[in-house]
Amino acid sequence: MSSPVIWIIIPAAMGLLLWFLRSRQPLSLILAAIVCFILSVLAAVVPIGEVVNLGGLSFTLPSTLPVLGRRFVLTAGDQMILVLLYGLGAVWFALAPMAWPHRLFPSFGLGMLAALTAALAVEPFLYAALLVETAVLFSIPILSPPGRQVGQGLQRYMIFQTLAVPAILFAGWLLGVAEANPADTAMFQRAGILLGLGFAFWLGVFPFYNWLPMMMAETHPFPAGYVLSLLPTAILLLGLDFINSIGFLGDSATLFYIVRIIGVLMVVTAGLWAAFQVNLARVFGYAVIFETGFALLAISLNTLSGWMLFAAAFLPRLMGLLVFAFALAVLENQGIPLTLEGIRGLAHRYPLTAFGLLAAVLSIGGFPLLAGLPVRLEIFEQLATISRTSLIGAGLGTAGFLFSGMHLLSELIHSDEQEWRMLENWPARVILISGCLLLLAFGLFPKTFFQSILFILQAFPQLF
Amino acid sequence: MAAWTNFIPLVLVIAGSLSLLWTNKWRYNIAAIALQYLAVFWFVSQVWPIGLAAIKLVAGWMAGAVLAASVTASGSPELDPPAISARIFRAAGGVFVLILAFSVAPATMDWIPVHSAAMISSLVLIGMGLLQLSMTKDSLRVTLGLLMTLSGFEIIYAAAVTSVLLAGLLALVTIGVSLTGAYWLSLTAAEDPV
Repeated sequence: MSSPVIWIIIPAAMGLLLWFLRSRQPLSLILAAIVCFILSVLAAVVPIGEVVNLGGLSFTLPSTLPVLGRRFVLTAGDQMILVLLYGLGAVWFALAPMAWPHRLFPSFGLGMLAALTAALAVEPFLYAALLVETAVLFSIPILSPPGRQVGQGLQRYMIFQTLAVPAILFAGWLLGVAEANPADTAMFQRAGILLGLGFAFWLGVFPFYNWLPMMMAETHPFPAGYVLSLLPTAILLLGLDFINSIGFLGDSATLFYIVRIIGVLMVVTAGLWAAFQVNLARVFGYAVIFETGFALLAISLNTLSGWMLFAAAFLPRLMGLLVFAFALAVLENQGIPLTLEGIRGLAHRYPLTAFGLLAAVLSIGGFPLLAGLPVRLEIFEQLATISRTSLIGAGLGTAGFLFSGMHLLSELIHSDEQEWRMLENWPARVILISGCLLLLAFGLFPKTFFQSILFILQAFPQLF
Repeated sequence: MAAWTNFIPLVLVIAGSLSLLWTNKWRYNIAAIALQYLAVFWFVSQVWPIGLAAIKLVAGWMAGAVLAASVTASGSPELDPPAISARIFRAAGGVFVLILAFSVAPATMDWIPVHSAAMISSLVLIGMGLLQLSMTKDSLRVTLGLLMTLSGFEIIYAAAVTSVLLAGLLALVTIGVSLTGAYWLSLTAAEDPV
């Protein structure tokens, strides 16, 4: 038994098993949540590659699994990443019975997790492209379950994610050629361009992101939220792994300059489009773009503090998106249109859902006292020392996103109703209150929460 | 193998990809994609062992069979034949892609070690696939466009890398894309009120 068997093969096998249990939705969702929780706890407590003494039993967990001449490697440095990914899976599966208890979610959702973990573990890394594509293929039945229209957004999602495969595979091959002949700088440039193109397709980077809001408007917000929380997280970590393993990328000032420009463009456009958007599902899409833009800005700093900000941003990002998606799912399940007009006066009928929506949007926008602010503020400070133009751009985008939050607030409380009711069911109330409190706690005590997540940087020792 | 014989699959690729643009009839479309995978197999078998190269053919034909079975099972009606103006527009786009492929091929051959027919075929498939993807909302044609683009890439990538795992994973992706298309077609059929 090796670490890839535990964190790749077992969840993949469980996904297959849950496929056979798909008619028992609550059971399969609870099982998926339990499996993810156990895998997350195991990643936190079992040291990979070291001797473990368990009572009288002593064993070592190897980090490598060879497959057809290639290797899957999950070392001690990757353990925090595993905690993050499987912890994320556990939370989403545990909430699914209240938000979207669909029969396909546990099996394909676990399949996605296993495929993305395999993508992070595979060596040589170019195989990651095919494993990410496998995760994307697993996500399709979740995003377009039977009975739901297949829209253009979903088609474009599939197209862009698939087009990333050739770009990344070619980049991997060109890097091999370039490393054999370091004098040929043109090869490095070509590899860099293809790698950038591949990641741009994967992450929905400007200008390839129009599928994100379109897809959100076409699908149920909960599964879309799961896919758009998990996929960009894994791909950003994969990007960090590439920068960590490929020496010339880490040394290239041009790369970080381009990443900064793209990050600013994403923040500005997502913030401004969100400000004028009347469809809340689309605002969620812009929130994902906005967050990815800030992640790219943190990467572009290329300093220890930049990498720490990149890692620290995962928790508020994932928490904000979770609360946002859950609140949208509550509304969708009640048949309330996800538009500003549809939610007018919602605070009088669904006060906790309204509060959850608002807290999530404002946290993503970086409103004071909420989870998003500490990281945003630090990124602004760092940007101010490098590029004032980037700072102004990021500030403009943030103002746009906060404006969309204010617009949301005005619509939520705008009502002629005098009576206040609370129509959410009890589980939804508990989840929404907990989510909002966590967003507040992250904002009030950032160090307490962020210190543990910084350990994901152990997987990338060459960065600093 | 004589150099001129490599132009047989090139002709297959050009004819197949143009017919995919020209007609909406799914039978012709599936036949065209099957021919294209034959051409891909032809080129890949020159750089890979024949057994390994056969994976491309088998995966491609399986993808075509999955899509054909799905169209038949879903009972989806044939799309209306495109208007003559649409056909002319598509053909013009196709010819533009052909010109681009023939003119770009010599430059790309400097850094990717394949012969001219394989390079042109690959660029034609990638270009026509992207053209197809940009012009349609139909699930079947989106899937065929993706398969075309991927198969074009596979021709040149096979010349660069030989690996059993890679061949297997690429075959998995090819079949996965076709299964996704088949799944979408089945959803469309389920929604059909008739």
